[in-house]
Amino acid sequence: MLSLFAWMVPLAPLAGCLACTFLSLRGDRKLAHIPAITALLISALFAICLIAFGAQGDTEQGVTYSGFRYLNVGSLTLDISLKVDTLCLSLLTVVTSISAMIAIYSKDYMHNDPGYARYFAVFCGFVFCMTMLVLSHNLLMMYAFWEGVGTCSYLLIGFWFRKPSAAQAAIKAFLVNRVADCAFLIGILLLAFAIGKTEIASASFFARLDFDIIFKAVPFLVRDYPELLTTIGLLLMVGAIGKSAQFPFHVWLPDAMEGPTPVSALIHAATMVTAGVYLMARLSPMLVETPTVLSTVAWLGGITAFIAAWMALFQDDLKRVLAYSTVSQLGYLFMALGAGAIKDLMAVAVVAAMFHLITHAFFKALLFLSAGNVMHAMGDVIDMRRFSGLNKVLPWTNILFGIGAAALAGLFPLAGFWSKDTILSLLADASSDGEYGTQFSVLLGIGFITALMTAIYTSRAYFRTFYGAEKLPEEAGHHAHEASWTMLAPMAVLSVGAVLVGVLLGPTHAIANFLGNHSEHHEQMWVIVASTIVAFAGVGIGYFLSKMQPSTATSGAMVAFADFGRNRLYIDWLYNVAIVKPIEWFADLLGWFDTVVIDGLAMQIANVPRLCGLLGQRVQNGRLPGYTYITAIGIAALALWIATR
Amino acid sequence: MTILIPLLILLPLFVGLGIFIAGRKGQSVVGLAVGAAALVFVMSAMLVYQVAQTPSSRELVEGATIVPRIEFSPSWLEFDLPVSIAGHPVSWHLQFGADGIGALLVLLTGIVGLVTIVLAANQIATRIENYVGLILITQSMLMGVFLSMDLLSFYLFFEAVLLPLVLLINGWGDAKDALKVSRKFLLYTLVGSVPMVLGLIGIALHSATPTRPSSVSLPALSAIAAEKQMAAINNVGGAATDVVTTVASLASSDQWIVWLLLLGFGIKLAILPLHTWLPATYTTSHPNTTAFIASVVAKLGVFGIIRIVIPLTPLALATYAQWLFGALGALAIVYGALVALSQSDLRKVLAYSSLSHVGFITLGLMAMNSEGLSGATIQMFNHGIITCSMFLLLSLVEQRRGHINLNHKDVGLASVYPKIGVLMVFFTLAGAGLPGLNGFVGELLAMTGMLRYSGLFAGVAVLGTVLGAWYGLRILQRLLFGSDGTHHSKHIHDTADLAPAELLPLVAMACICLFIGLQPQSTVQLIESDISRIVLVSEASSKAVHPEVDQLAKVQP
Repeated sequence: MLSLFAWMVPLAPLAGCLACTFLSLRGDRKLAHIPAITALLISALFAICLIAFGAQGDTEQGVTYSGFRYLNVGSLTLDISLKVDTLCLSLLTVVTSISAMIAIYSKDYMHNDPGYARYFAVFCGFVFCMTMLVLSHNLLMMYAFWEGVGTCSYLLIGFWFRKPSAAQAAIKAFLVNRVADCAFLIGILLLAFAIGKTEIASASFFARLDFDIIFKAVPFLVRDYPELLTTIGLLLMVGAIGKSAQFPFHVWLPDAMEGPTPVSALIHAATMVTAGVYLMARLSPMLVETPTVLSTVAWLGGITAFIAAWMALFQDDLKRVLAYSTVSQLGYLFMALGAGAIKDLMAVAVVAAMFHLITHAFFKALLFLSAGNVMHAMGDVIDMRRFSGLNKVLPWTNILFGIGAAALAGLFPLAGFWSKDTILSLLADASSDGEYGTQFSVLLGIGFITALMTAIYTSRAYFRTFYGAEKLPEEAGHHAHEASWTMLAPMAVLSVGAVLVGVLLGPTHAIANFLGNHSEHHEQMWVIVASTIVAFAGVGIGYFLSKMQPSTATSGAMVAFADFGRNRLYIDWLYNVAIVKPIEWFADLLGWFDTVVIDGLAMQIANVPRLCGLLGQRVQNGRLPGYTYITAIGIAALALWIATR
Repeated sequence: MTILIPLLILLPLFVGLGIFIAGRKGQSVVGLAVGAAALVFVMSAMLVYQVAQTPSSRELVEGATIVPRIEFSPSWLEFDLPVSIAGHPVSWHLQFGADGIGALLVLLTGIVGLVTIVLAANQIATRIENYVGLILITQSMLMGVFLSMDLLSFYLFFEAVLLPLVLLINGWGDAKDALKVSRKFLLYTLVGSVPMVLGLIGIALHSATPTRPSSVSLPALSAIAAEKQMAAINNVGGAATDVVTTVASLASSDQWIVWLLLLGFGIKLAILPLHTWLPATYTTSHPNTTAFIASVVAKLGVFGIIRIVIPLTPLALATYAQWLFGALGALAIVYGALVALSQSDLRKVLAYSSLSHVGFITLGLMAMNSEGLSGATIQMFNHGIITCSMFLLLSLVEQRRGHINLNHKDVGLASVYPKIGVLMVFFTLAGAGLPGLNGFVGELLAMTGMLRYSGLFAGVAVLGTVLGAWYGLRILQRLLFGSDGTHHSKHIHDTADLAPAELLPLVAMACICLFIGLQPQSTVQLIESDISRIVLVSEASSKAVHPEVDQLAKVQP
């Protein structure tokens, strides 16, 4: 029974994907949302059923529902099975419910697009891959669907493929992810190899990568190969930070905003980019033995959280503000996970990360969809310099965006407040540790600064867009109007989530209990007070800044700060100059080398017989004197030889 | 049903010769060729079915590592020669047979032959009857290579493939370079075949002992090789010398054979730096011809290594060439991908990408363990399907747009030809090794195998996949996306998207990709028992020569 429920979660979107593919072959522009929305609602329903009917004891340990055997050859066995436990269920519910809401929203947003059915086909395909990723029982199977979501993301970023910028952004996203995935794959294979050397060695190479077997093998690996385990952990971490767009792989996410806005909401804010966090949380029983990896994760998370917030401060494109904000918030999640470097805090760290992941999914999806409403009304203009004072034109969107922004800024008592506080107090706990205390004190500071910056850019974007003098771009035409009810209704659902999820799950310890962490963890009062002050101060500053003209910078340092932020800290530029261009240059050099040197050399060797022939030809000139000379020399030589014997 | 084997070789040969000689113009001849190719395809599928059904446990020759599951070796193919070697009269018995590996490649040849002939009907403007005739003849020769079970017929067919190919390259290639390039192709392959034939003779001679006549039969030779090798590794009957010495002496006695064979097969394989015939040939021939060459003919070298070198001289291979060829394979992956990235001619990009993919196959072979060999064999088939489809698509695009220059950005063909666009995206993703499509399984297995031999090479290979994705997606971005396809319109000859006769073969190819990607089990099962037999000798050799293989270095006390 539960096995059927579990399988229905991914299979319903797969069926939806196939139906929409079929419709897209027929050039449909009207019907594709029906199978898609139905499938996603069914999927969400079964995900909730799994929580409702799953016995608590069972799901906490994890139950594996067998599926089909993908490979079974000699020493190579790989099953496609589903592992259901509470960690997986918490993300699964979020993925399916939010994707269903966004699919409903997309019905009107993508209205009459030539690729209407194609959109829903890839959308469902993405949800299929994502749910399979979340439900994977085996690391290699997870990798397969990891690539799958990446490909769906590629196809959706480049959805409007006639735009050069969209095609460019798609290839960038795919390649940056691919680089990280390489490390991920090497890590996976090394891990399987290493497990094969322990007492746990199961017969099959790929079956060793079942999560249950990995965790069983960890003590042996720690004993025999501690350094190798750290290397593997780092490689897997690279995969995680690639997908989750952490420094230094963050560059693809802001460009990914070229895709349709609902896609940005679903894939590049709420679900796919959290896969890295999920991977880390999934592997936490292994990573807890490699504190080096986790402290690296914490640093990278902290750096990302800060620099992304910095860049978000100086963006004029509303969607890019939200994109950098996503990167920054994901940095928060990684900081939280990194606190697991201190062994006792690992369980709490996972809870904190998953909690913020869930709340963030709700309010960030809400914010993106609101931005989508703005874009829809403004005739695809999303540059905040070109519109303002939209609260009259878009009254409902104004409220919904406001709720999302307040949640993101961490205002009491919205969702973001609770989850952000959990992370900050976790970091405060961690900073009292002996070995890693200093590191986490610094990171706690970064956490507070980032919280302040988050509040500033969020409120600034909100006030710039919805308040001030009303200004509309000419693309909006005369019919700038509020979004339809089919678009607003799912947003309303998300906004309820953005308001309530935090207070329902956090202070009640519901999420902690659900994830099997029954230890009491008390939040520190000073953190709560401080973060509230920071959030309100940030909102105030943001409001003040939204009144200012962007050009009125005061001091030189401020100008440099703004300049760096606006130019993405020159990181994209640096990658282009230091990595992409040299590789292309080297490729050109090799191309020249191949045609001129290698092929040229081969052709010269091919000429050798001809040259030898030419040499002989000179002597064989058919003239008697020449022949006579040669004969004479020959006879002389012969005579000399005979004489000297 | 052993009649399938001679039919598979003779039917395309006679029909091809008939069409080529009769040479009348007109659709009826093409129809005949398509019919023959379809029949060959059906028979190859039947052969695969039959091989899959036959239990693999039967052993005709005890201890053989090459075991045909279906055999065709009538007594009239036995020749007694008026010479004697080591005191025994020489008797050559030509044998044909199919094991899983051979059957898989027969199927590939059947599929690719059918598809290229069907598409040739619209692609080839001149002397179509000669063209399809030559394709059929080539197909027959290839079937001969994949089905031969003795050194003599293997060599004869291996060499005979060249003749129709040179005509195909020369007759329908770019008028400017065709002659030069077909000469280059011929010279390269002849340089390879002379050492190869010497190596093959060496194998036959080495098999002769005072108690045993020399042999050309592959099952018998493989049994002898396995016995010798096991005796050396286990040091049977000689306490005087240690294992290292016996292994080294056996390896050195086969050393020259291995080098000669590898030179021959390496040229066919386009191993660096002996590869320059490949881009030249691929870019000069008609893309329809290239689709055929790149998918099947380029596999001859790989097939030779897996059929002859690995089972018959495993110790010498492991001692002298395993590391070198592994390194060359890893290098080819990166080198091919980088050069592909620098090219502006789409034909060249695909040619070098082929080079890069063959590097993966080489890498799998040189792992010499079961993952690596299975991966390499599957990847032979997968790469055949993918590369054939890509060149066919290229051919279809060139027919409509003329030569494709990738320096033009944002051509936006996907808007004009949506079907071509979707198929191109599909096959590019398959080539990039996307899970769920066929490229993934082969590459994964090859890399897994290589990781057990050398982590460095495996790492290089994995990095190569990034570059592979880069040039692949670059093609898509420049050619298909970025505009609505209206500029550069002066090149447009035709704005029609794929016709059903063009669409159907390509969709069938896509279905094969999808099927293998979702059900690799079926393919792997076909070759499993053959691979596991070869692995008995190859992995043992690899481990005997490189004791560090399969060990983890950093063992803490």
